[in-house]
Amino acid sequence: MTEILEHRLDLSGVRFANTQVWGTVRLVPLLRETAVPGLQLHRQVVDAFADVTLRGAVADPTESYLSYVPHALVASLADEGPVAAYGTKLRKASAKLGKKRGGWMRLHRMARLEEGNLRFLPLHLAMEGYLDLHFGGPDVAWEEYSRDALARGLSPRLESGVSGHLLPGLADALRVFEIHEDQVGVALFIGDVFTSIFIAPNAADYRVLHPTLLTDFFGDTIWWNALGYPEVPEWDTDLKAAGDIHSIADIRAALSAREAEWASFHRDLTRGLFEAPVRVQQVQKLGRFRLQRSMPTFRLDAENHIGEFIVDEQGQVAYMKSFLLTQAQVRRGHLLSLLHAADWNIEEAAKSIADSSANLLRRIEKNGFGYLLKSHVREQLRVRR
Amino acid sequence: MNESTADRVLREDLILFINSCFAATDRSEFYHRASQQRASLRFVHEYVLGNYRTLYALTLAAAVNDHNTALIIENLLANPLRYDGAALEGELIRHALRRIRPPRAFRLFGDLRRGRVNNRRTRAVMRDYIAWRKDIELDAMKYRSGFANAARHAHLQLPGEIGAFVFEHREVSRFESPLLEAWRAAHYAQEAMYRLPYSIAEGFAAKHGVDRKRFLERIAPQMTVRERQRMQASSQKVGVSKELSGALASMRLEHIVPYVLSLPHAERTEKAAELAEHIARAAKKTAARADAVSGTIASVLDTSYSSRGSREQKNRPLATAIGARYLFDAISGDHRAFYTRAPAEPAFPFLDEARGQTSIARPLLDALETQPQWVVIVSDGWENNPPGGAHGVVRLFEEAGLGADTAILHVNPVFDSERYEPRRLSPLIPTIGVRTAADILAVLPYVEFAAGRRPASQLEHTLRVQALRFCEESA
Repeated sequence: MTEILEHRLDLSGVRFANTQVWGTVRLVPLLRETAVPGLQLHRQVVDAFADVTLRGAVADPTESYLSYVPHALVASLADEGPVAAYGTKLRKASAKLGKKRGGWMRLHRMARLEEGNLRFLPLHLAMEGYLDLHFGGPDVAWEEYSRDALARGLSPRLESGVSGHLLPGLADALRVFEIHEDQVGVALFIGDVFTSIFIAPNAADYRVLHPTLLTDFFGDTIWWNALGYPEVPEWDTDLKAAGDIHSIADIRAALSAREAEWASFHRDLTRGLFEAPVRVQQVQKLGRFRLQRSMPTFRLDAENHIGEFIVDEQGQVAYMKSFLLTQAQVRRGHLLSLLHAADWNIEEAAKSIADSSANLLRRIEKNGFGYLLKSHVREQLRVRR
Repeated sequence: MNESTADRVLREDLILFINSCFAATDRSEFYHRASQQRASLRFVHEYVLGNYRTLYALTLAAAVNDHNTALIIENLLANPLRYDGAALEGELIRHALRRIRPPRAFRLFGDLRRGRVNNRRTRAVMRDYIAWRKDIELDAMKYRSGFANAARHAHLQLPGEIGAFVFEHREVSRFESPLLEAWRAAHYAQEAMYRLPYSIAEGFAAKHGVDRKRFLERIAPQMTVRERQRMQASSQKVGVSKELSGALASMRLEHIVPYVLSLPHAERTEKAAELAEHIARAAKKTAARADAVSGTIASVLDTSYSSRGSREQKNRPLATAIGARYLFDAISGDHRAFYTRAPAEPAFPFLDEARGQTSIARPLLDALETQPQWVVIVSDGWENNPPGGAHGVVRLFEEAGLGADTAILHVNPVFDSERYEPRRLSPLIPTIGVRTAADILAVLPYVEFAAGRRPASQLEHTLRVQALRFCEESA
């Protein structure tokens, strides 16, 4: 589970089509002529607050988290060749999914093989990778850290997100979006910021899962973005002739060239996610497919996306969902990594960024990790300011 | 053509208004809700009424849709003005009111009452209208509340037993008129309701709890043609009528295509050939009513996902596109259709659902390649693959001087409430609004103005001539 690999995501079969704009939302359809064979994805409605077990037995978890879970995704192996579900298909309800009581339920693990299918909670996987980071807290009892910090680490570790339902215009944008015939995914831009990407194994699965984008969660800056930029411009296809236009064929060529330009432009905008090799953590295996999540890198000068994906043995992406970390989240992650790298020694860590210990302590306090420090250290910080 | 800014503004405002009056109603569309449509359309009306009162009234003669006709009449009556054109305005209102369907006219009277519009002209219009109706007994029964509204509002003297029927029927123990008596008796005896019109009898059938199948069988002779057509699906469900062709044979183009699209896919596929024949025949009938446009036509038809319309108007934009295909077939011997998404069976485009993205640019190029005299695009104007592609294509096409013999036209069945008019594809392509495919012929006179090839003064003249002819013909 904790095996860390490094590889490049292969999106070569995926084509970026023309954008569709609605208010602040820009949706870029991702097309794929031949679906990734052998995998099917469907949705299992949960719609409950769940107590998700991470370690230990379901009845008596040693580690768990609480969250609202709109639905789980279930990946199953299909016969070779793209198999598409048409219309409603009856499936046996999974016995492993617990009973819902008063809007609450227990879920065992975020990703789990159940009856030969892989059930996982979308985005939780990616988010947990972020939350779990250095969750144990200081390993060495440096004098600054409080007793609680040494005993319980970063628990409780909280992060909040905004539901897609609350993003102004997203519901309408998804409703009026015209799905392409061979569309397998979508890249979502809100207020012209690359927010997330979603890819399904085949077009039929995508068509069914398209509205579930609304139940995803997003960083709160995305919400501010949506409020701040209620309208993004629609870029018109301003055709330019390469040479003189003599015939319809020349216009056709100009059109294709322009479309190709847009496609590569949008591919560039999502480059942060695909260009660099990602460090991934293997979560589960299903046949020749592997469910993985990417480990965040916390570069302070760039967009930081975390994500989860199902890839086949060649690294071809069959499923993918990403989440854009907010700047605050990046700063928090960066700080924890910094401390971890210096074995939680404040002076060492401060030296590694050429700063004073006092400043570093102040940063710890400001980023919401003050509870790790002894109270007299926090007091001193307040006095010195 | 050189036109002054004032002329250009006038021309554009009028074309915007005429387009909106053809396309818009207060019902929700794919992209906008009913409330947005209503607010936007009310604004357009107020704007034109305030700035171009005479032309506003003249629009009544332009065969705009019933909804807007009623709205124009309401606004004219609510804002009385004494000026030279009052006589013509009065005539136009009188004739236009007779053109729209009676339920709408009575609804308009209700709106006038609610709006407390009760001037002398309003009362006279109501009085004239009711005096003009052929069967006042039937009207009093079918539109009882609307009729009562009008009678009360305009202080009408109702002839014979009608006053008693409308206002104090409980005190009457027997009506002399057989129809009114049947209505009274139907409250107590089932048998009497089969002598009533279908729409009235239906209420009594529910009251008496009559079996649906039995009711439809017995009421059939009392149905109007349109009622019979509308009830086709319902009758088939309860097993009253089996054959389709009877009702289809007389349906008009604007009714038959939505009806065919509403059939279950299996039935559509099974009877495809028969249905296509009926649509083609209806299209021929429509084409024969207007002066045919000659020449080769290539059409670009938008059957994308957005053409499924809204829950209130399911598939209306799609029906317009498919209706247009048959209409152009009927008009021109040489017509080729290009779709945003090619139908599985080109001979039967009504078999496919509205689906997929809106790619206008490529089918437009295909259409231009056939070098037709006319290229007609039927689309709601929300182009997204690529956005603005049609504009780019037409611009290059014209810049290269390829388009000397080709006229391009965009027909839009959807009113965009944010832009106060049917959405345009490009400033280079004239856009005209329609409600149904059958309207396409009615809006053709405005194409030249929409394109800016003829000045506002001529548009005014055209509208005036049309208005005079309309009044003469109606009288």
